[in-house]
Amino acid sequence: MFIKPLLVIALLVIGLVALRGRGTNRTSAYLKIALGLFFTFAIYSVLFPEQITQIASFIGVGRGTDLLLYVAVIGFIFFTVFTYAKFKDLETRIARLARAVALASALQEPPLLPVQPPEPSLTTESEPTEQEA
Amino acid sequence: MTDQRDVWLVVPMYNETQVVRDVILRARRTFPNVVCVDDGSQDSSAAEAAAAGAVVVRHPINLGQGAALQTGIEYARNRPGARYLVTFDADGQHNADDVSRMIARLRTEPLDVVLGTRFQGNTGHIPLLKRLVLRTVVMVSPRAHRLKLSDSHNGLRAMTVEAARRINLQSNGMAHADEFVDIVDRARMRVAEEPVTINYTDYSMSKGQSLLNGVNIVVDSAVRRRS
Repeated sequence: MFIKPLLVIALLVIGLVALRGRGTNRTSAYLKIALGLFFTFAIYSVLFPEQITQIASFIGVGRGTDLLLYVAVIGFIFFTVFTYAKFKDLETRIARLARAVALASALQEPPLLPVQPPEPSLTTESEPTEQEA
Repeated sequence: MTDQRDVWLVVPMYNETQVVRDVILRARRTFPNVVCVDDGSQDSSAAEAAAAGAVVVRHPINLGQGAALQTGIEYARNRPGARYLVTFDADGQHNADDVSRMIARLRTEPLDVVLGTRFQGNTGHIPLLKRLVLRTVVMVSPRAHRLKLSDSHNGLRAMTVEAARRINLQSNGMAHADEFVDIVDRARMRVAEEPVTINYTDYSMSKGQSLLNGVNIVVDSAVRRRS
């Protein structure tokens, strides 16, 4: 019964990779290797389905289709976690970009003339101007 | 009245046309410097805020309240002469008098940050369910506990400009309150709480966070800590 430790280890690895360095060259290299292995396995299972069944029974899964299902589920979780991390990363970048645009255009506009506040003692003649831009 | 021209109010704003002009006019009686961060509103909030005399910084797209706060903080802390920053809500739930007391403490006491709390003094005006949830949030947060905070999700916060320079909120959405406390704790800033009154009007209640949003906050915070 290898299947249980195999599945658990796969999930742990996904978790670890997801939590640690994301977006680095190393991570994306690992991702490519994982994809490569996945495609090799896919082609192999198409060409030699009976061997997939043998592997499956060797590691204690039963039928080859069951093994494929497990691999597919792991692959799906892998994809989900990576996509989530990627989205978060993009969100941060977009926020930085939008902030830069907002701040830059705020500094370009002429300083707003202070509207007379309701109480006369509150004129704001010293409203800092945006000259330094 | 003390001269408050070294204070900047940072007001994140999203679709607040109805009330924002009034809120800013009232706040500016005491605090002339107000920067409104318009978080991509579809209504005329930006024009209203500008008419009330606030500097308006516009996000080209909607990013979320945390992002708007960060933008406002970055704008305000780079103003010449700015010494104190205050985060202030656009929906009229905060009072300038409370801000005055918080700023007075920053001026006189050795503090970096003063957080508003709803849970000192009379809590009768806070809706019961809200009270329970906010109390629970504080109890389960180790940092809030360590800093002896009674209310970690209050939008009213005052800080010195030096403290503001260390604030870099990454949570765009609503998890920024936790993140703020995190940053304050990690940087070992000196924090105090000041009791404040929140005006729970129908308007602010309808604009405020629904309790279901707590789910988002918890998950976002958990993910952020690990990243």
